[in-house]
Amino acid sequence: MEKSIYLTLFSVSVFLAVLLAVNYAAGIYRYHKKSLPYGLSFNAMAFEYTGSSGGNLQGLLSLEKTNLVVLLEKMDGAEIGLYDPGMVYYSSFSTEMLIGSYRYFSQEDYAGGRMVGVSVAKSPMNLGKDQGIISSLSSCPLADKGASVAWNLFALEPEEGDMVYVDSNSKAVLKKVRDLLLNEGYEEREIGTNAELDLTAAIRYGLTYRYSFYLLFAAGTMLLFHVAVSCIYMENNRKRFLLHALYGGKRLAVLKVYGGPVFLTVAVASLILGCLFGIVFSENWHLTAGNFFAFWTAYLAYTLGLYFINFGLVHLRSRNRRAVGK
Amino acid sequence: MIDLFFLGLKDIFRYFRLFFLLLVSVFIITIIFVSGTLSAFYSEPSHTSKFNKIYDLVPVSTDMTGNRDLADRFQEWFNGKGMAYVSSQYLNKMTGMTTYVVTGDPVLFHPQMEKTDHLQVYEANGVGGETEIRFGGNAYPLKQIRMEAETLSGPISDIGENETFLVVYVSGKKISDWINYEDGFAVWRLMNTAILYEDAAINEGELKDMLEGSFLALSKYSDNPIYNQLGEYKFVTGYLYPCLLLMIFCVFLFFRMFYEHFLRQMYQEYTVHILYGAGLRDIVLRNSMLMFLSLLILFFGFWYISRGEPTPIRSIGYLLIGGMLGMLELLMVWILCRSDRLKNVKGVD
Repeated sequence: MEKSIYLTLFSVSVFLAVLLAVNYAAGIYRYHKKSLPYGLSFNAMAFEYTGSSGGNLQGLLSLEKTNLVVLLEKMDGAEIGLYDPGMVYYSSFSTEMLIGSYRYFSQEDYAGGRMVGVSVAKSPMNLGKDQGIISSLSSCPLADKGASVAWNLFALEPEEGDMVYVDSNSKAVLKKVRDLLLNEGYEEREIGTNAELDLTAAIRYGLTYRYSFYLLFAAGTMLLFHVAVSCIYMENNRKRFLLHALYGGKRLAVLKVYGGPVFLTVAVASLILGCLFGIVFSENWHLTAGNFFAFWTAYLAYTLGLYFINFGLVHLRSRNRRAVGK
Repeated sequence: MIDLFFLGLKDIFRYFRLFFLLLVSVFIITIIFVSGTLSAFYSEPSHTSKFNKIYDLVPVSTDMTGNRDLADRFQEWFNGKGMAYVSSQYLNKMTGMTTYVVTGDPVLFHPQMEKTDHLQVYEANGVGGETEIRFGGNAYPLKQIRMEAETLSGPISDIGENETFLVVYVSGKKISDWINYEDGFAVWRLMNTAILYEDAAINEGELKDMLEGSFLALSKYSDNPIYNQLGEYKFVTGYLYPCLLLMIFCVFLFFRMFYEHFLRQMYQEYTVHILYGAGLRDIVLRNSMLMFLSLLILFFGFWYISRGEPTPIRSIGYLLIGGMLGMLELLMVWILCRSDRLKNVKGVD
């Protein structure tokens, strides 16, 4: 088997390069399409209240974490509740005026469950203190779904069908909150990098964006090189095919001898290395397991197709056509 | 030598596919690498500002009664840790000029200011040569400083370049006597724009103790998941570069296989060439035409495409093209030297 090691190495590295390029396109797609509501990060998790248990969110207070954002969405986003102990939204979106008249949620507000809220409307509304509005944030993503006020989370009662979004930069905190919410009758929903992604749509979107276009284009070039490389591999083995044919080898059997081991090695190695890449780049990984296996299968089909076509071409171009298989 | 040049050209035209694919791959990789680097260069947070925000202060109460105490506690805690300044309405009224109050290390505000243990007043961009200023019934010695563009770069960004104003360096006095402490905005502003030394020891517990009972609460920037995900920087360094490294590896493997195939196809021609007296050196030179022509075309193409970009980034591109083609040339020579077929024809040297 002439230099099959190079073909194998090449196939596997092309797989990994294209996988990374597709992952980049998926990341860009997720990032730009704002599949995450309220400006949440890729770590965010979503839960739906099923009503099977109390739905009490007071347990969040006892965690005493500051790197945590919890949002309760009622009635499709027309009314939202916010628990923001790190004051993330204030430090990112406040214009910081009128200190002394207006303020942000304090720990006492959360602990006491006071009915206070922050105006997040696109056009600033009159801040009536008597209505419990304590501050105003401008151009804030909290208003994405049409809410005009973000109320204190602990002043609202969760009802069946309400969504709860949780975000943090620490996986440990997210896990704690997840356990807490699952106990209180919430069910996890897919969001962020867990959400199902349409791979073809992501690639199509990636082609319209500069960097991902370059990467996908380069990945496509690598796939073209794969055609050339497998063609050369088959061409280099032409005389061996002839010998096999002279000794009575069938076409498919010959292909099995020359393409089979390479194909199997590529399949196993690309699966293992692809999973390894998923672990190494887990911070920036945007493909779901389903996407990965779909991509893997498509790539293997592509490789197999190349072997068949190139073997067929070599067979056609062979001078003694009758001699190569029957 | 001229013959070799033309023979090399002939080889290239006969195997145009290799030449074309080589050009395309090296060019694409260079463009992606350079534009990725460019994007990382511009979106890296520390490039736009060398001052990193660690904490934010958020008002969580409208009760302003503890402000005087808070400002003094802050001044005490802040001593030796950096510099803080604020425009003082109280002094503005008294002096009739814009007045800033500075505490901590005044050198950070302006290099001509000196660290003293008594109160010192400076006039910035002043015209007169007075050495004394009177306000509030007392006389204070006055020194002149000049604000220039470079002293105003960085944290002090809200002061105009040619504005005339007073700077009161409060040393050995309580800062709460010099500002409108009832105004929450002034206190918040003083603390929120404080500049700390890079190596200043900040104890979060101390900070929280200081803010205890006041109208402010501490918000840590690194806790902010929304802030931390902004920017393309992570995308580029996170997996653009690994992907490009893999692609370069693919190009090398591809070149190796294709070149061996090329040698196999050119066997007869090279045999004739060697029989007519050519050495391995001549064959290498003949094939180097491929690299030489690629280098010319790629350099020209890259020069054309990157006309507007900064010089260091363009040189990265040239280095990358040169480096990749140089490595491929070495690989080519290595394959040629290891090739048994040509050795057999040539015999032993």
